Amino acid sequence: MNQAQPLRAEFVCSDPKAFALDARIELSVDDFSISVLFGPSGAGKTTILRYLAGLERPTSGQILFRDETWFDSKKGIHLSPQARRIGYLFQRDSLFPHLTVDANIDAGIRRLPRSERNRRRQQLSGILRLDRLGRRYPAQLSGGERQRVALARTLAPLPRLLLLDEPFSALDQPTRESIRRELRDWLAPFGIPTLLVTHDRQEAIGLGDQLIVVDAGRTRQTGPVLDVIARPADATIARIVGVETVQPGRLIERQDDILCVDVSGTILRAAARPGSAELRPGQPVVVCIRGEEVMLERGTLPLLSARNRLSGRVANIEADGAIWKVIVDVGFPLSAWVTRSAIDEMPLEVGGDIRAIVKAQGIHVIGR
Amino acid sequence: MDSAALSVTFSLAVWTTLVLAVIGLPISYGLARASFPGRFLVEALISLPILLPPTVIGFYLLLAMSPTSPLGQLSKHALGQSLPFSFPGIVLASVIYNLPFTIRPFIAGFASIDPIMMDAAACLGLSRWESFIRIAIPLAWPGIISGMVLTFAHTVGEFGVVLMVGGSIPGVTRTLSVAIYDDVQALDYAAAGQTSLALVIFSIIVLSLTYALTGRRVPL
Repeated sequence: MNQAQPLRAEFVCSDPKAFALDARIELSVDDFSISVLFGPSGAGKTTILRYLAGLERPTSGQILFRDETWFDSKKGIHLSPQARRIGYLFQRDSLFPHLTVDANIDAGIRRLPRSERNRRRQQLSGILRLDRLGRRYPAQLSGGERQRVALARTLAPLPRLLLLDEPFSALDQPTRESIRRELRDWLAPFGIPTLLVTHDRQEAIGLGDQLIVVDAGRTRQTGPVLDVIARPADATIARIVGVETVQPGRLIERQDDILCVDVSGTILRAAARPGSAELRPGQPVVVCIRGEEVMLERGTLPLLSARNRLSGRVANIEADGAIWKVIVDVGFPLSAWVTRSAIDEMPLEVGGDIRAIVKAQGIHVIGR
Repeated sequence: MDSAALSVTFSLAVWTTLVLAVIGLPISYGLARASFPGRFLVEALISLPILLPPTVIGFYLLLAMSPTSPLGQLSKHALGQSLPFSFPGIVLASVIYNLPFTIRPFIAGFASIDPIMMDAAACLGLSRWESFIRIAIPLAWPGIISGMVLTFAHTVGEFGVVLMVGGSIPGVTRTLSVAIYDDVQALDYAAAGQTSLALVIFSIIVLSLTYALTGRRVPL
């Protein structure tokens, strides 16, 4: 087996009756890591997963897994899902209703000797906490239990690639959160590279190592999760990954490694990055600022290293758990995440004067 | 009641049901899942016996089974006898006549399976055959039971096709419904009434058992 080779998929679906798709994915499949296919509902994430699994056949392209060809339109190769030896966890309940939990988990490993089947079932029951459920039927389980059994069934044959299609979306909020917390611990012992589909930003950030942004049937940007979120390639991707402030502006000048950008009359100073070398003064740009990068300040001004000190008014405060979103009008709406206690202590109120502080590295400038 | 006719009827119904189950399961599974051009034609052909008078079907089957036909030649070699007026002949006729009563409920059963089940089976590495045997058939069970019960009961009550192809040879092709006809022709109303009542009771018992066993999920 060649360990260095990745999963490399480039395929197109142009069948007018099917979902139009243009996907390019490259993943390292040497050991356990979670890559997240992330994008809005209806972007084609599930469809991409189905093509990787072999459940659908692309119009053209290639899917290579390590040194195997799974699909090649030119050579007429299309491996069945059985031959790809992948694991697929479906969004909807897919347990076989006429089989017990044990028989469901055994479904994919029937050819193994009984002792090995028992060993794997015990290992999975331990990790996924399925003890005493073995003789029950799916109809006798809760939603969370059913999805844990389905995961156990998917892992039992030790697939070479794990495809998880929004596996928690059908569950209630508390169950979803507890499963989300534990998923990495469950998967890590098996060392199987995992591709997870989600439209939930928290889930993508909380679970993913790599992020693949999908929009309107296309894979738009791939990279480590934090890189993609900090440096989206364009304004659409910035909005999809949930960057709170995405504003059009104009590049005024470069001073060494600092870009000066005019956004609705307010001048912002942003750190230049290797990717921004080709930006020219006068060029229209998009400015992305994450809510985490913005500090709010009232009263006297200490000396600060931050390059952007923007005076404005509090336009809105949106409650959202312990961290609240404050929107400050600094010539354009700028969002900041602030703790509840900070809002009480400062205090912050709608209409009040405030200064927003952003470091130059916290501003990401993209050419338009 | 004519015990020879009872035995012929019972054997005919069992053979018809078994033969149709074996050939009907793969055909229905294929028809429920696949979509191909001309599919409507296949379904129309299978459903034809619902519309055609049994005598018409019987007439054409009789022609097809004549000793000079390919089918007639084949049966001479394989069975050592010709098909018309024989037990294998009425089984064959009954199988063809009952095709829709088996296949249509079978298709309904297979079509009611959530496609995600078959996708899950494929991703778990189950072969097509394993998916069919272990997943599709158990999940389509209510439709399969109802198709088999319908076929069995329908064969027990069959008249026209059996009479055309098999005639009324006691102990060979004379079924209960043919016996009733013969009794009425002979003005033996007592015998005809007895047999008829037995068939009514049989039908009620079969249907009740079916509903009881499959928990009302039968598409009958």
